[in-house]
Amino acid sequence: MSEERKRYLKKQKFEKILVLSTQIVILVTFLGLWEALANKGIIDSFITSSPSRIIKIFANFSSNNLLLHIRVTIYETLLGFSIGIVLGTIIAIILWWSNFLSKVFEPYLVVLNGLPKVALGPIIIIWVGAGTKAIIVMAIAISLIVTILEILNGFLNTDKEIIKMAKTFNANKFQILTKIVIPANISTFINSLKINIGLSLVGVISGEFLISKAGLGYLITYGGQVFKLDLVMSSIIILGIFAGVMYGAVALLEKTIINYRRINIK
Amino acid sequence: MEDILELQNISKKYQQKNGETLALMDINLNVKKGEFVSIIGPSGCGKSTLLSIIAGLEEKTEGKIIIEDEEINEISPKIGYMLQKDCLLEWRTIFSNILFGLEIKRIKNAENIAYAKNLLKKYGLYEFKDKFPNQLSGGMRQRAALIRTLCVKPKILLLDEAFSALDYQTRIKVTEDIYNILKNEKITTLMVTHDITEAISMGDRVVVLTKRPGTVKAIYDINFEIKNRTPLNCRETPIFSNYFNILWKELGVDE
Ligand SMILES: Nc1ncnc2c1ncn2[C@@H]1O[C@H](COP(=O)(O)OP(=O)(O)O)[C@@H](O)[C@H]1O
Ligand SMILES: [Mg+2]
Repeated sequence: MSEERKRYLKKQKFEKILVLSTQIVILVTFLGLWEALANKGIIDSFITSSPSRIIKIFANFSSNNLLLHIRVTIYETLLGFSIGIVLGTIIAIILWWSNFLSKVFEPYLVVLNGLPKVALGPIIIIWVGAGTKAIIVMAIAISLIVTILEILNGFLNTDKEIIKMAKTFNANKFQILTKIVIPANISTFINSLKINIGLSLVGVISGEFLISKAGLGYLITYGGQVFKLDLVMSSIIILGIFAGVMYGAVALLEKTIINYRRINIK
Repeated sequence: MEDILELQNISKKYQQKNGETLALMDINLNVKKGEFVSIIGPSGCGKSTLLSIIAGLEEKTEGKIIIEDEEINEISPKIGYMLQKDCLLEWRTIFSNILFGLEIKRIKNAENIAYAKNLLKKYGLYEFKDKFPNQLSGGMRQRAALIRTLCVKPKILLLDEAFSALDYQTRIKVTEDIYNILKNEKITTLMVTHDITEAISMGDRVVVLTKRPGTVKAIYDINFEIKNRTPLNCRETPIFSNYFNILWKELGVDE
Protein backbone atom coordinates (compact mmCIF):
# COMPACT_ATOMS: atom_id res chain seq x y z
CA MET A 1 0.00 0.00 0.00
CA SER A 2 1.30 3.42 -0.92
CA GLU A 3 1.84 6.18 1.61
CA GLU A 4 -0.84 8.24 -0.06
CA ARG A 5 -3.39 5.46 0.16
CA LYS A 6 -2.51 4.90 3.83
CA ARG A 7 -3.04 8.56 4.55
CA TYR A 8 -6.34 8.52 2.70
CA LEU A 9 -7.63 5.52 4.63
CA LYS A 10 -6.48 7.02 7.90
CA LYS A 11 -8.35 10.22 7.13
CA GLN A 12 -11.49 8.28 6.24
CA LYS A 13 -11.32 6.35 9.48
CA PHE A 14 -10.69 9.49 11.47
CA GLU A 15 -13.74 11.17 9.95
CA LYS A 16 -15.92 8.19 10.72
CA ILE A 17 -14.81 8.18 14.35
CA LEU A 18 -15.33 11.92 14.58
CA VAL A 19 -18.91 11.69 13.32
CA LEU A 20 -19.75 8.81 15.62
CA SER A 21 -18.25 10.41 18.71
CA THR A 22 -20.02 13.70 18.00
CA GLN A 23 -23.28 11.81 17.74
CA ILE A 24 -22.62 10.14 21.10
CA VAL A 25 -21.64 13.44 22.71
CA ILE A 26 -24.89 15.06 21.55
CA LEU A 27 -26.97 12.20 22.95
CA VAL A 28 -25.16 12.08 26.27
CA THR A 29 -25.28 15.86 26.68
CA PHE A 30 -28.98 15.89 25.92
CA LEU A 31 -29.77 13.13 28.39
CA GLY A 32 -27.42 14.61 31.01
CA LEU A 33 -28.94 18.08 30.72
CA TRP A 34 -32.43 16.66 30.86
CA GLU A 35 -31.66 14.67 33.99
CA ALA A 36 -29.77 17.50 35.67
CA LEU A 37 -32.41 20.15 34.96
CA ALA A 38 -35.15 17.84 36.20
CA ASN A 39 -33.12 16.96 39.27
CA LYS A 40 -32.49 20.59 40.17
CA GLY A 41 -36.16 21.36 39.62
CA ILE A 42 -35.45 23.86 36.86
CA ILE A 43 -37.85 21.92 34.63
CA ASP A 44 -40.87 20.15 36.05
CA SER A 45 -40.23 16.41 35.70
CA PHE A 46 -43.92 15.83 36.23
CA ILE A 47 -44.45 17.33 32.78
CA THR A 48 -41.15 16.57 31.07
CA SER A 49 -40.30 13.28 32.77
CA SER A 50 -36.58 12.50 33.07
CA PRO A 51 -34.15 9.78 32.01
CA SER A 52 -34.08 8.23 35.45
CA ARG A 53 -37.86 8.09 35.62
CA ILE A 54 -37.96 6.47 32.20
CA ILE A 55 -35.41 3.88 33.28
CA LYS A 56 -37.63 3.15 36.25
CA ILE A 57 -40.53 2.44 33.91
CA PHE A 58 -38.36 0.05 31.94
CA ALA A 59 -37.23 -1.64 35.15
CA ASN A 60 -40.82 -2.18 36.26
CA PHE A 61 -41.88 -3.63 32.93
CA SER A 62 -43.85 -6.44 34.56
CA SER A 63 -46.04 -4.25 36.74
CA ASN A 64 -47.04 -1.87 33.94
CA ASN A 65 -47.57 -4.55 31.32
CA LEU A 66 -45.03 -2.85 29.07
CA LEU A 67 -44.03 -6.06 27.30
CA LEU A 68 -47.61 -6.84 26.38
CA HIS A 69 -48.08 -3.44 24.80
CA ILE A 70 -44.79 -3.68 22.93
CA ARG A 71 -45.73 -7.09 21.65
CA VAL A 72 -49.12 -5.88 20.42
CA THR A 73 -47.64 -2.94 18.56
CA ILE A 74 -44.86 -4.98 16.97
CA TYR A 75 -47.31 -7.64 15.88
CA GLU A 76 -49.69 -5.13 14.33
CA THR A 77 -46.92 -3.19 12.63
CA LEU A 78 -45.20 -6.22 11.13
CA LEU A 79 -48.49 -7.61 9.88
CA GLY A 80 -49.67 -4.30 8.43
CA PHE A 81 -46.22 -3.71 6.91
CA SER A 82 -46.03 -7.12 5.25
CA ILE A 83 -49.59 -7.11 3.95
CA GLY A 84 -49.14 -3.57 2.65
CA ILE A 85 -45.99 -4.50 0.75
CA VAL A 86 -47.31 -7.76 -0.67
CA LEU A 87 -50.68 -6.33 -1.65
CA GLY A 88 -49.10 -3.15 -3.03
CA THR A 89 -46.65 -5.12 -5.13
CA ILE A 90 -49.36 -7.38 -6.50
CA ILE A 91 -51.57 -4.42 -7.43
CA ALA A 92 -48.61 -2.60 -8.99
CA ILE A 93 -47.86 -5.68 -11.09
CA ILE A 94 -51.49 -5.85 -12.26
CA LEU A 95 -51.49 -2.17 -13.17
CA TRP A 96 -48.15 -2.52 -14.98
CA TRP A 97 -49.53 -5.47 -16.87
CA SER A 98 -52.68 -3.75 -18.03
CA ASN A 99 -52.31 -0.36 -19.59
CA PHE A 100 -56.09 -0.05 -19.54
CA LEU A 101 -56.43 -0.65 -15.81
CA SER A 102 -53.59 1.70 -14.93
CA LYS A 103 -55.25 4.46 -16.95
CA VAL A 104 -58.62 3.75 -15.33
CA PHE A 105 -57.27 3.76 -11.79
CA GLU A 106 -54.82 6.63 -12.08
CA PRO A 107 -57.18 9.41 -10.87
CA TYR A 108 -58.45 7.23 -8.03
CA LEU A 109 -54.92 6.50 -6.88
CA VAL A 110 -54.02 10.18 -7.00
CA VAL A 111 -57.05 11.18 -4.92
CA LEU A 112 -56.60 8.34 -2.43
CA ASN A 113 -52.94 9.21 -2.10
CA GLY A 114 -53.81 12.77 -1.12
CA LEU A 115 -56.55 11.75 1.30
CA PRO A 116 -55.51 11.72 4.97
CA LYS A 117 -56.15 8.05 5.69
CA VAL A 118 -56.63 8.69 9.43
CA ALA A 119 -59.97 10.21 8.44
CA LEU A 120 -61.07 6.70 7.48
CA GLY A 121 -60.53 5.52 11.07
CA PRO A 122 -64.14 5.62 12.28
CA ILE A 123 -65.39 3.90 9.13
CA ILE A 124 -62.79 1.18 9.45
CA ILE A 125 -63.78 0.61 13.07
CA ILE A 126 -67.45 0.32 12.16
CA TRP A 127 -66.71 -2.06 9.32
CA VAL A 128 -64.19 -4.44 10.90
CA GLY A 129 -64.79 -3.84 14.61
CA ALA A 130 -62.82 -1.95 17.23
CA GLY A 131 -59.95 -4.38 17.54
CA THR A 132 -56.61 -5.50 16.21
CA LYS A 133 -58.10 -6.01 12.77
CA ALA A 134 -59.06 -2.35 12.46
CA ILE A 135 -55.57 -1.27 13.48
CA ILE A 136 -53.94 -3.50 10.88
CA VAL A 137 -56.36 -2.26 8.22
CA MET A 138 -55.41 1.27 9.20
CA ALA A 139 -51.72 0.49 8.76
CA ILE A 140 -52.41 -1.03 5.36
CA ALA A 141 -54.62 1.90 4.32
CA ILE A 142 -51.79 4.31 5.02
CA SER A 143 -49.00 2.39 3.31
CA LEU A 144 -50.78 0.70 0.42
CA ILE A 145 -51.32 3.55 -2.04
CA VAL A 146 -47.80 4.88 -1.66
CA THR A 147 -46.43 1.39 -2.20
CA ILE A 148 -48.49 0.93 -5.36
CA LEU A 149 -47.46 4.30 -6.78
CA GLU A 150 -43.78 3.88 -5.92
CA ILE A 151 -43.46 0.38 -7.34
CA LEU A 152 -45.60 1.08 -10.42
CA ASN A 153 -43.53 4.16 -11.15
CA GLY A 154 -40.33 2.12 -10.91
CA PHE A 155 -41.75 -0.58 -13.16
CA LEU A 156 -42.89 1.90 -15.79
CA ASN A 157 -39.48 3.57 -15.82
CA THR A 158 -37.58 0.38 -16.57
CA ASP A 159 -35.10 0.97 -19.41
CA LYS A 160 -37.14 0.73 -22.63
CA GLU A 161 -34.12 -0.37 -24.65
CA ILE A 162 -33.58 -3.38 -22.40
CA ILE A 163 -37.21 -4.35 -22.78
CA LYS A 164 -36.82 -3.96 -26.54
CA MET A 165 -33.76 -6.21 -26.41
CA ALA A 166 -35.81 -8.89 -24.65
CA LYS A 167 -38.54 -8.51 -27.25
CA THR A 168 -36.06 -9.17 -30.04
CA PHE A 169 -35.82 -12.67 -28.55
CA ASN A 170 -39.60 -12.84 -28.65
CA ALA A 171 -39.98 -12.52 -24.87
CA ASN A 172 -43.55 -12.63 -23.60
CA LYS A 173 -44.94 -10.23 -21.03
CA PHE A 174 -44.43 -12.63 -18.13
CA GLN A 175 -40.77 -13.09 -19.06
CA ILE A 176 -40.29 -9.35 -19.35
CA LEU A 177 -41.81 -8.97 -15.89
CA THR A 178 -39.82 -11.67 -14.15
CA LYS A 179 -36.52 -11.44 -16.00
CA ILE A 180 -36.24 -7.70 -16.59
CA VAL A 181 -38.71 -5.49 -14.75
CA ILE A 182 -38.59 -7.06 -11.29
CA PRO A 183 -34.83 -7.60 -11.09
CA ALA A 184 -34.24 -4.10 -12.47
CA ASN A 185 -36.40 -2.66 -9.68
CA ILE A 186 -34.91 -4.23 -6.59
CA SER A 187 -33.80 -0.80 -5.38
CA THR A 188 -37.32 0.57 -5.88
CA PHE A 189 -38.57 -2.28 -3.77
CA ILE A 190 -36.06 -1.64 -1.00
CA ASN A 191 -37.01 2.04 -1.00
CA SER A 192 -40.65 1.07 -0.63
CA LEU A 193 -39.78 -1.10 2.34
CA LYS A 194 -37.95 1.79 3.98
CA ILE A 195 -40.81 4.22 3.44
CA ASN A 196 -43.35 1.68 4.64
CA ILE A 197 -41.72 1.20 8.02
CA GLY A 198 -42.64 4.74 8.98
CA LEU A 199 -46.04 4.63 7.32
CA SER A 200 -47.23 1.41 8.91
CA LEU A 201 -46.08 2.67 12.31
CA VAL A 202 -48.16 5.83 11.77
CA GLY A 203 -51.12 3.63 10.87
CA VAL A 204 -50.74 1.37 13.88
CA ILE A 205 -50.22 4.15 16.41
CA SER A 206 -53.12 6.25 15.14
CA GLY A 207 -55.25 3.10 15.10
CA GLU A 208 -54.30 2.43 18.69
CA PHE A 209 -55.10 6.05 19.59
CA LEU A 210 -58.61 5.56 18.22
CA ILE A 211 -59.31 2.10 19.57
CA SER A 212 -57.45 2.44 22.85
CA LYS A 213 -57.27 -1.15 24.01
CA ALA A 214 -53.62 -2.10 23.93
CA GLY A 215 -50.30 -1.24 22.35
CA LEU A 216 -47.84 1.61 22.65
CA GLY A 217 -50.31 3.99 21.02
CA TYR A 218 -52.80 3.15 23.70
CA LEU A 219 -50.12 3.60 26.36
CA ILE A 220 -49.34 7.06 25.00
CA THR A 221 -52.99 8.20 25.05
CA TYR A 222 -53.54 6.67 28.45
CA GLY A 223 -50.35 8.20 29.85
CA GLY A 224 -51.37 11.58 28.47
CA GLN A 225 -54.81 11.41 30.01
CA VAL A 226 -53.65 10.47 33.50
CA PHE A 227 -50.56 12.70 33.32
CA LYS A 228 -48.08 9.83 33.48
CA LEU A 229 -45.57 11.50 31.20
CA ASP A 230 -42.95 8.89 32.10
CA LEU A 231 -45.10 6.31 30.37
CA VAL A 232 -45.56 8.51 27.32
CA MET A 233 -41.84 9.20 26.99
CA SER A 234 -40.93 5.55 27.47
CA SER A 235 -43.38 4.50 24.78
CA ILE A 236 -41.98 7.04 22.35
CA ILE A 237 -38.44 5.85 23.01
CA ILE A 238 -39.46 2.24 22.42
CA LEU A 239 -41.13 3.26 19.16
CA GLY A 240 -37.93 4.97 18.11
CA ILE A 241 -35.89 1.88 18.87
CA PHE A 242 -38.38 -0.33 17.04
CA ALA A 243 -38.34 1.86 13.93
CA GLY A 244 -34.53 1.84 14.04
CA VAL A 245 -34.38 -1.93 14.29
CA MET A 246 -36.78 -2.36 11.37
CA TYR A 247 -34.79 0.09 9.31
CA GLY A 248 -31.64 -1.83 10.18
CA ALA A 249 -33.26 -5.06 9.07
CA VAL A 250 -34.16 -3.57 5.70
CA ALA A 251 -30.67 -2.13 5.33
CA LEU A 252 -29.26 -5.58 6.07
CA LEU A 253 -31.53 -7.09 3.43
CA GLU A 254 -30.33 -4.48 0.95
CA LYS A 255 -26.70 -5.24 1.74
CA THR A 256 -27.30 -8.95 1.35
CA ILE A 257 -28.85 -8.44 -2.07
CA ILE A 258 -26.06 -6.15 -3.19
CA ASN A 259 -23.49 -8.65 -2.05
CA TYR A 260 -25.40 -11.39 -3.74
CA ARG A 261 -25.34 -9.56 -7.02
CA ARG A 262 -21.90 -8.12 -6.24
CA ILE A 263 -22.88 -4.83 -7.79
CA ASN A 264 -24.40 -1.61 -6.73
CA ILE A 265 -28.10 -1.57 -7.47
CA LYS A 266 -28.56 2.17 -7.18
CA MET B 1 -26.05 -15.70 -54.98
CA GLU B 2 -29.63 -16.00 -53.85
CA ASP B 3 -31.51 -13.35 -51.95
CA ILE B 4 -32.05 -14.15 -48.29
CA LEU B 5 -34.09 -11.05 -47.55
CA GLU B 6 -36.46 -9.07 -49.73
CA LEU B 7 -38.18 -5.87 -48.75
CA GLN B 8 -41.06 -4.99 -51.06
CA ASN B 9 -42.75 -1.60 -50.97
CA ILE B 10 -42.37 -1.14 -47.24
CA SER B 11 -44.17 1.92 -45.87
CA LYS B 12 -44.68 2.99 -42.32
CA LYS B 13 -47.01 5.59 -40.92
CA TYR B 14 -46.95 6.31 -37.19
CA GLN B 15 -50.27 7.32 -35.68
CA GLN B 16 -50.13 9.79 -32.85
CA LYS B 17 -52.56 11.99 -30.96
CA ASN B 18 -51.63 15.08 -32.93
CA GLY B 19 -51.45 13.52 -36.38
CA GLU B 20 -49.62 11.00 -38.48
CA THR B 21 -45.96 10.70 -39.35
CA LEU B 22 -45.00 9.03 -42.58
CA ALA B 23 -41.64 7.58 -41.58
CA LEU B 24 -40.91 5.27 -44.50
CA MET B 25 -42.25 5.29 -48.05
CA ASP B 26 -42.01 2.46 -50.53
CA ILE B 27 -38.73 0.87 -49.52
CA ASN B 28 -37.46 -1.84 -51.85
CA LEU B 29 -34.29 -3.75 -51.13
CA ASN B 30 -32.90 -7.22 -51.77
CA VAL B 31 -30.11 -8.60 -49.64
CA LYS B 32 -28.00 -11.56 -50.71
CA LYS B 33 -26.91 -14.37 -48.48
CA GLY B 34 -23.74 -13.47 -46.57
CA GLU B 35 -23.85 -9.89 -47.73
CA PHE B 36 -23.10 -6.91 -45.50
CA VAL B 37 -25.39 -4.00 -46.34
CA SER B 38 -24.92 -0.60 -44.74
CA ILE B 39 -27.80 1.87 -44.58
CA ILE B 40 -27.14 5.55 -44.15
CA GLY B 41 -29.48 8.50 -44.12
CA PRO B 42 -30.16 11.71 -42.28
CA SER B 43 -31.24 11.54 -38.68
CA GLY B 44 -34.95 10.85 -38.30
CA CYS B 45 -35.37 9.40 -41.80
CA GLY B 46 -36.67 6.11 -40.50
CA LYS B 47 -33.58 3.90 -40.28
CA SER B 48 -34.42 2.51 -36.84
CA THR B 49 -38.03 2.14 -37.89
CA LEU B 50 -36.98 0.03 -40.86
CA LEU B 51 -34.93 -2.34 -38.71
CA SER B 52 -37.70 -2.59 -36.12
CA ILE B 53 -40.14 -3.55 -38.87
CA ILE B 54 -37.81 -6.21 -40.23
CA ALA B 55 -37.30 -7.52 -36.69
CA GLY B 56 -41.08 -7.72 -36.24
CA LEU B 57 -41.10 -5.30 -33.31
CA GLU B 58 -43.03 -2.66 -35.22
CA GLU B 59 -45.92 -3.20 -37.60
CA LYS B 60 -45.55 -2.04 -41.16
CA THR B 61 -48.30 -0.07 -42.79
CA GLU B 62 -47.74 -1.54 -46.23
CA GLY B 63 -45.42 -3.92 -48.01
CA LYS B 64 -43.96 -7.38 -47.71
CA ILE B 65 -40.95 -8.85 -45.97
CA ILE B 66 -39.68 -12.09 -47.41
CA ILE B 67 -36.99 -14.18 -45.75
CA GLU B 68 -35.76 -17.25 -47.63
CA ASP B 69 -38.83 -17.17 -49.87
CA GLU B 70 -41.22 -17.01 -46.95
CA GLU B 71 -43.28 -13.98 -46.12
CA ILE B 72 -42.96 -13.03 -42.46
CA ASN B 73 -45.30 -10.87 -40.41
CA GLU B 74 -44.00 -11.28 -36.89
CA ILE B 75 -40.81 -11.79 -34.94
CA SER B 76 -38.76 -14.30 -36.87
CA PRO B 77 -36.24 -16.64 -35.26
CA LYS B 78 -34.04 -16.11 -38.29
CA ILE B 79 -33.37 -12.52 -37.29
CA GLY B 80 -31.03 -11.17 -34.65
CA TYR B 81 -31.17 -7.54 -33.64
CA MET B 82 -28.49 -5.55 -31.89
CA LEU B 83 -29.32 -2.14 -30.51
CA GLN B 84 -27.19 0.93 -29.95
CA LYS B 85 -26.86 0.18 -26.26
CA ASP B 86 -25.47 -3.22 -25.35
CA CYS B 87 -28.43 -3.77 -23.00
CA LEU B 88 -26.50 -6.21 -20.84
CA LEU B 89 -28.33 -6.95 -17.60
CA GLU B 90 -26.14 -5.54 -14.84
CA TRP B 91 -27.32 -8.12 -12.30
CA ARG B 92 -26.24 -11.09 -14.38
CA THR B 93 -22.76 -12.38 -15.11
CA ILE B 94 -21.51 -12.19 -18.67
CA PHE B 95 -22.19 -15.87 -19.17
CA SER B 96 -25.70 -15.59 -17.82
CA ASN B 97 -26.25 -12.53 -20.01
CA ILE B 98 -25.11 -14.42 -23.06
CA LEU B 99 -27.54 -17.24 -22.34
CA PHE B 100 -30.41 -14.74 -21.98
CA GLY B 101 -31.79 -15.22 -25.48
CA LEU B 102 -31.66 -19.01 -25.17
CA GLU B 103 -33.41 -18.75 -21.84
CA ILE B 104 -36.18 -16.56 -23.25
CA LYS B 105 -36.67 -18.85 -26.21
CA ARG B 106 -36.61 -21.84 -23.85
CA ILE B 107 -33.83 -23.56 -25.77
CA LYS B 108 -31.15 -23.43 -23.09
CA ASN B 109 -30.06 -27.03 -23.60
CA ALA B 110 -26.63 -28.62 -23.29
CA GLU B 111 -25.93 -28.30 -26.98
CA ASN B 112 -26.70 -24.60 -27.13
CA ILE B 113 -24.80 -23.89 -23.92
CA ALA B 114 -21.78 -25.61 -25.42
CA TYR B 115 -22.22 -23.48 -28.54
CA ALA B 116 -22.33 -20.34 -26.38
CA LYS B 117 -19.18 -21.35 -24.52
CA ASN B 118 -17.49 -21.99 -27.80
CA LEU B 119 -18.39 -18.51 -29.07
CA LEU B 120 -17.03 -17.00 -25.85
CA LYS B 121 -13.77 -18.87 -26.29
CA LYS B 122 -13.50 -18.06 -29.97
CA TYR B 123 -14.00 -14.36 -29.42
CA GLY B 124 -11.91 -13.87 -26.32
CA LEU B 125 -14.51 -13.48 -23.59
CA TYR B 126 -14.33 -16.88 -21.96
CA GLU B 127 -12.10 -15.79 -19.11
CA PHE B 128 -14.55 -12.98 -18.37
CA LYS B 129 -17.61 -15.17 -18.32
CA ASP B 130 -18.10 -14.95 -14.56
CA LYS B 131 -17.54 -11.19 -14.41
CA PHE B 132 -20.33 -8.68 -14.29
CA PRO B 133 -20.95 -6.25 -17.17
CA ASN B 134 -19.68 -3.26 -15.19
CA GLN B 135 -16.29 -4.96 -14.93
CA LEU B 136 -15.87 -5.02 -18.73
CA SER B 137 -14.78 -2.34 -21.17
CA GLY B 138 -17.27 -0.84 -23.63
CA GLY B 139 -15.81 -2.84 -26.48
CA MET B 140 -15.99 -6.11 -24.59
CA ARG B 141 -19.57 -5.39 -23.55
CA GLN B 142 -20.53 -4.85 -27.18
CA ARG B 143 -18.88 -8.11 -28.15
CA ALA B 144 -20.79 -9.86 -25.36
CA ALA B 145 -24.03 -8.37 -26.68
CA LEU B 146 -23.20 -9.69 -30.15
CA ILE B 147 -22.47 -13.16 -28.80
CA ARG B 148 -25.80 -13.08 -26.94
CA THR B 149 -27.48 -12.48 -30.29
CA LEU B 150 -25.40 -15.09 -32.13
CA CYS B 151 -26.23 -17.78 -29.54
CA VAL B 152 -29.73 -18.11 -30.94
CA LYS B 153 -28.21 -18.69 -34.40
CA PRO B 154 -29.85 -15.99 -36.49
CA LYS B 155 -29.33 -15.96 -40.23
CA ILE B 156 -29.70 -12.23 -40.59
CA LEU B 157 -28.31 -9.70 -38.17
CA LEU B 158 -29.65 -6.18 -37.81
CA LEU B 159 -27.30 -3.60 -36.30
CA ASP B 160 -28.75 -0.24 -35.28
CA GLU B 161 -25.93 2.24 -34.73
CA ALA B 162 -24.45 -0.50 -32.61
CA PHE B 163 -21.09 1.26 -32.20
CA SER B 164 -22.09 4.87 -31.88
CA ALA B 165 -22.05 4.86 -28.08
CA LEU B 166 -18.37 3.91 -28.04
CA ASP B 167 -15.45 6.31 -28.11
CA TYR B 168 -13.51 6.56 -31.36
CA GLN B 169 -10.59 4.25 -30.54
CA THR B 170 -12.84 1.54 -29.17
CA ARG B 171 -15.20 1.92 -32.08
CA ILE B 172 -12.51 1.22 -34.65
CA LYS B 173 -11.38 -1.81 -32.70
CA VAL B 174 -14.91 -3.15 -32.10
CA THR B 175 -15.87 -2.60 -35.73
CA GLU B 176 -12.89 -4.72 -36.70
CA ASP B 177 -13.75 -7.45 -34.18
CA ILE B 178 -17.39 -7.61 -35.04
CA TYR B 179 -16.83 -7.54 -38.77
CA ASN B 180 -14.51 -10.51 -38.47
CA ILE B 181 -16.93 -12.40 -36.27
CA LEU B 182 -19.79 -11.84 -38.69
CA LYS B 183 -17.79 -12.86 -41.75
CA ASN B 184 -16.49 -15.86 -39.85
CA GLU B 185 -19.97 -16.98 -38.88
CA LYS B 186 -21.26 -16.10 -42.38
CA ILE B 187 -24.07 -13.94 -41.08
CA THR B 188 -25.95 -11.69 -43.45
CA THR B 189 -25.95 -8.22 -41.95
CA LEU B 190 -28.00 -5.09 -42.32
CA MET B 191 -26.35 -2.21 -40.51
CA VAL B 192 -27.77 1.23 -39.91
CA THR B 193 -25.28 3.98 -39.16
CA HIS B 194 -24.88 7.72 -39.49
CA ASP B 195 -21.14 7.33 -39.90
CA ILE B 196 -20.25 7.24 -43.61
CA THR B 197 -16.78 5.79 -42.99
CA GLU B 198 -18.26 2.96 -40.97
CA ALA B 199 -20.78 2.26 -43.72
CA ILE B 200 -18.07 2.09 -46.39
CA SER B 201 -15.49 0.18 -44.40
CA MET B 202 -17.89 -2.63 -43.49
CA GLY B 203 -20.45 -2.72 -46.27
CA ASP B 204 -20.50 -4.70 -49.51
CA ARG B 205 -23.18 -2.22 -50.48
CA VAL B 206 -24.27 1.09 -49.07
CA VAL B 207 -27.91 2.11 -49.25
CA VAL B 208 -28.61 5.83 -49.00
CA LEU B 209 -32.01 6.88 -47.72
CA THR B 210 -33.64 10.26 -48.31
CA LYS B 211 -34.76 12.40 -45.42
CA ARG B 212 -38.17 11.62 -43.97
CA PRO B 213 -40.20 9.95 -45.35
CA GLY B 214 -37.28 7.61 -46.02
CA THR B 215 -37.05 6.05 -49.43
CA VAL B 216 -34.09 4.43 -51.16
CA LYS B 217 -32.24 7.24 -52.86
CA ALA B 218 -29.24 5.35 -54.15
CA ILE B 219 -27.39 2.08 -53.69
CA TYR B 220 -23.62 1.84 -54.13
CA ASP B 221 -21.58 -1.30 -54.56
CA ILE B 222 -18.41 -1.08 -52.53
CA ASN B 223 -15.49 -2.97 -53.91
CA PHE B 224 -11.98 -2.51 -52.61
CA GLU B 225 -10.44 -5.43 -54.49
CA ILE B 226 -8.07 -6.26 -51.65
CA LYS B 227 -7.28 -9.73 -50.40
CA ASN B 228 -7.79 -9.46 -46.70
CA ARG B 229 -10.77 -7.22 -46.48
CA THR B 230 -11.31 -5.83 -42.99
CA PRO B 231 -12.68 -2.41 -42.10
CA LEU B 232 -9.26 -1.11 -41.13
CA ASN B 233 -7.59 -2.33 -44.33
CA CYS B 234 -10.33 -0.66 -46.35
CA ARG B 235 -9.76 2.61 -44.61
CA GLU B 236 -6.15 2.56 -45.76
CA THR B 237 -6.89 2.14 -49.47
CA PRO B 238 -6.80 5.19 -51.76
CA ILE B 239 -10.31 4.59 -53.12
CA PHE B 240 -11.78 4.87 -49.66
CA SER B 241 -11.92 8.62 -49.91
CA ASN B 242 -13.52 8.38 -53.35
CA TYR B 243 -16.40 6.44 -51.88
CA PHE B 244 -16.52 8.85 -48.99
CA ASN B 245 -16.83 11.87 -51.26
CA ILE B 246 -19.55 10.28 -53.37
CA LEU B 247 -21.63 9.32 -50.36
CA TRP B 248 -20.99 12.61 -48.63
CA LYS B 249 -22.44 14.43 -51.63
CA GLU B 250 -25.30 11.97 -51.88
CA LEU B 251 -26.23 12.62 -48.26
CA GLY B 252 -25.60 16.33 -48.41
CA VAL B 253 -27.85 17.24 -51.35
CA ASP B 254 -30.87 17.07 -49.12
CA GLU B 255 -29.63 19.68 -46.67
N1 LIG C 1 -43.07 5.18 -31.85
C1 LIG C 1 -43.14 6.26 -32.67
N2 LIG C 1 -44.27 7.01 -32.73
C2 LIG C 1 -44.34 8.07 -33.54
N3 LIG C 1 -43.34 8.51 -34.31
C3 LIG C 1 -42.19 7.82 -34.30
C4 LIG C 1 -42.02 6.68 -33.46
N4 LIG C 1 -40.76 6.21 -33.63
C5 LIG C 1 -40.18 7.03 -34.54
N5 LIG C 1 -41.03 8.00 -34.93
C6 LIG C 1 -40.75 9.05 -35.93
O1 LIG C 1 -40.43 8.43 -37.14
C7 LIG C 1 -39.33 9.07 -37.76
C8 LIG C 1 -38.22 8.09 -37.99
O2 LIG C 1 -37.64 7.70 -36.76
P1 LIG C 1 -36.40 6.73 -36.64
O3 LIG C 1 -36.72 5.48 -37.38
O4 LIG C 1 -36.04 6.58 -35.23
O5 LIG C 1 -35.28 7.53 -37.43
P2 LIG C 1 -33.69 7.29 -37.50
O6 LIG C 1 -33.39 6.02 -36.83
O7 LIG C 1 -33.38 7.29 -38.96
O8 LIG C 1 -33.04 8.47 -36.84
C9 LIG C 1 -38.94 10.21 -36.84
O9 LIG C 1 -39.50 11.39 -37.35
C10 LIG C 1 -39.55 9.86 -35.52
O10 LIG C 1 -39.92 11.02 -34.84
MG1 LIG D 1 -32.22 5.59 -35.11
